[in-house]
Amino acid sequence: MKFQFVPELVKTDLEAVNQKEAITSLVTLLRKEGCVQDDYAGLVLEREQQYPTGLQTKGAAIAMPHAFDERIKDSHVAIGILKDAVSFHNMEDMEESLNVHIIFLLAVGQAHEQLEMLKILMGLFQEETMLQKMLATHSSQAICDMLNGYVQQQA
Amino acid sequence: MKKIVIACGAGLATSSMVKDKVEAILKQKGIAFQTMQCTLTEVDNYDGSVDLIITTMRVRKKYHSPVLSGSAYLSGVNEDEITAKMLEILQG
Repeated sequence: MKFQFVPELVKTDLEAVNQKEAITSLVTLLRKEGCVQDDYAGLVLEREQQYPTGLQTKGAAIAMPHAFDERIKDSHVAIGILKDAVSFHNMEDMEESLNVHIIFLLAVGQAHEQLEMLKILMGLFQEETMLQKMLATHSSQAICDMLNGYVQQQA
Repeated sequence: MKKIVIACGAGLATSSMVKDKVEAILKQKGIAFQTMQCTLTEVDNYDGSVDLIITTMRVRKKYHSPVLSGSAYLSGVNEDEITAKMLEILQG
């Protein structure tokens, strides 16, 4: 099955005062879709402390929080476009903070066989204009249409 | 045969992304390689016996094998610079 972005897992104008709130709210989306269990937010927050995932790309400052959880079956991503940026530590340098505007909350099932979603995301992180367009789009459906269009182009 | 270890926090998500990119570059350059993927704490098991260690985050620990930060392959920022350094280490 081909990976597709779904509007149920995209939140535009996400309001959060900090990374904890943002992560919790995106995990709620994943939970509603049955992708993760209740305790996933805690696992992700804990891991984010130890191994931060903030990343400054050319298009936007992003973060891709995730945790290892063997109960996760398939790979999913919940996307949050923040109304106001929240702070994440930089993956490249833990002592540095980044004001993150887009969060890709990953739930990765056995990654070695499920590289497809990760490859798509890695390509997307390098698409400067696409990330900027995401910031200016306020509909989950419109974002999914744009991203799925991008996925098709790559295939 | 060049041995390369690619590590991230859980040896799961970001290292898979970087591994994919690195393998594509090495194939294109015709360099014979073997990649291993692991967590940052497991790097010690390979240190000294591999040609290159690539980590997705900057590590302050000193290793015997050369170390590069591979986050450029995720962000697209300074990617060419990292590729040049990687090829210099592997071909030099």
